[in-house]
Amino acid sequence: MAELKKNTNKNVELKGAKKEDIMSPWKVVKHRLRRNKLAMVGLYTLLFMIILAIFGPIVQKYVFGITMEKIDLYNISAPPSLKHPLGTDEVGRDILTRLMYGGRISLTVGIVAVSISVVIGSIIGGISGYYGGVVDGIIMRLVDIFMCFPFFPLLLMLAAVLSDYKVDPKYRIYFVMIIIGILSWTGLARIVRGQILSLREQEFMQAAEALGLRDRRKIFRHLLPNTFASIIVSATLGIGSAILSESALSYLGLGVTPPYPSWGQMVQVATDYYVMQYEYWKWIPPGVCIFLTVMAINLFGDGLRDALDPKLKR
Amino acid sequence: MGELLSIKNLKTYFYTEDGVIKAVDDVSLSIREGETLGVVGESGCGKSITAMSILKLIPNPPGKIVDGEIIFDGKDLTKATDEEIRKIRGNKISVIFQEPMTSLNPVFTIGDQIIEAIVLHQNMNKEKAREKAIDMLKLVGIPRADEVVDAYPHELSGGMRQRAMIAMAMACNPKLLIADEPTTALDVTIQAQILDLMRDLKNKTNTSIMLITHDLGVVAEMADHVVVMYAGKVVEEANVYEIFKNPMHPYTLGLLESKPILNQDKDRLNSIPGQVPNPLNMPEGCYFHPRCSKAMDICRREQPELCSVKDGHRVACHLYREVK
Repeated sequence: MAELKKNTNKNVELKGAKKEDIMSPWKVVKHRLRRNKLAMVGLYTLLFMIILAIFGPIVQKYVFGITMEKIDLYNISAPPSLKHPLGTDEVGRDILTRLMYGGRISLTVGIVAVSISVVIGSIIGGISGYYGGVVDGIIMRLVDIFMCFPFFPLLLMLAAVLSDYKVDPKYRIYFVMIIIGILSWTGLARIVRGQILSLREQEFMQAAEALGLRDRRKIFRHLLPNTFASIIVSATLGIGSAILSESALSYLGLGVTPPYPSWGQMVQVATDYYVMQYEYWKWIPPGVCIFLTVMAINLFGDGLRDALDPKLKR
Repeated sequence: MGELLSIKNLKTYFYTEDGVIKAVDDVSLSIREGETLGVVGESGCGKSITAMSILKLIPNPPGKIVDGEIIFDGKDLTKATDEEIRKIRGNKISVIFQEPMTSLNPVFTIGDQIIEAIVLHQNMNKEKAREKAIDMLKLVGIPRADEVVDAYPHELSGGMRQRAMIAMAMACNPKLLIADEPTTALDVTIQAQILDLMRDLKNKTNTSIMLITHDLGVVAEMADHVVVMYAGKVVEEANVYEIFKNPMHPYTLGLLESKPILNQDKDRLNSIPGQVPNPLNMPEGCYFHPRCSKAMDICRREQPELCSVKDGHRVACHLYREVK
């Protein structure tokens, strides 16, 4: 009898566990993502980069006493050694440390720029898709205009203006983030608009209307969450391209300026023929970092898209 | 029993590229407190549009309420502002939709959606609203209500979802519940349960129900009063016993004949020949005359008006003009 009871208990527990599994759509996504090895490689690489960027500089500073500005006059342009695992640059600063700081900046740029573009893109896309008609027409033409801007020349121009106004190098990075963010919301707005156009015709929106909800609530509480899947995917992939934009800008000397390092700006030394040929440790590590991070983000984003796509059943 | 809602000469038209569709053409009806009104008719006869007009849920453009009054609680809803109508929606008048499968937002839990309605209209805080939501779910007969409250719509069956929809609709103790074919998408056993449930709730809370359906069985079971609609017009109106015992309009007769009856040895059901006329191109005279077996000359020329033939029984047909 006791055993029977135990058994039923176990059954109940099992049932509970199974229920837990189908509980939220997010758990399904997590499960599917876990099975995608390539995406997991991407995720772990990305996590490794993030951890390195956050904790690396702290360890370097308090354990080895090396900061990004500290100059080692005895080892200028020194190749990798025990003291400087990735060597030093032309003024004797530790490359590994600068790489970590650069990672902080590059990743922050990516995340902040994408956050800005996600906020702008989903609000504008949501409004445009929900109201449709004239509002939609005006907003979409605005998006078309934004899309017509040659992205890179515009970035260069704005960056040049920043240089001209002698903005403190410390704050320049924030301008770079904002500029990239403001110029890259259009794609997302289109995606969100397209989805909301079809979602608002669904029956549950009529039901929401019959509940007496305000438009604002209908758009942002009821419609937008239904588009989160595509927003997340497009944002993840967007981080990669934002990092690339920042690198390119900094490489051209218009993004982050010394003494603050960023990956793109560190690769810039390769413009020197001599460095390019003989001092590989100065430009290969930041290049590899850009490559690995963007690659990891793209792999993860692709995996996420597959995992979030309900039509894709394996 | 006072009148809760009365619709007078409502006209809802749709302005399309091909012309004006008179989806609801001069419809008058009324619902008393605590009464169930059955609105019956074929697909496309304007039942749903009449109901949606009450809450101004007509997509505009192309739809528009052109004329008429909808008096609810002494107030004309056709003249109400958006803000006023929003306060009535989901609060004093709620709607249950036809499709339980798609009428719940897939990304929120059942509880979230019920709580939202309660918080919006009743000035309750979240915890209390949650308790109320669980109570409502229990009231509509959902087992394990305290677990289901956190379930997503995809985890529930159609019948459960429809119950959840009813719980949501009843959460604010509405005075009028508009049920737009609430059982069409459900199988027969669940249908019976849902109808029982609605009747119970009605008796408990004294809510009036406007039941839109094409199922005469449902009407016989639920309604106190019946309105038969055809092509945007009311063709017959009477209490439920009168309609089934003494149907007058040829269309109502046809509807009743096309219903299966137990213990009757019959191979095929009767049907009304023809189709609902194209709303862009309505026939002259009585809209029903091309399909009517008793059509007379006058039917082709003149549109009949809704006349009282007996106490509380009104019909729009030339056949009964002389009787009056």
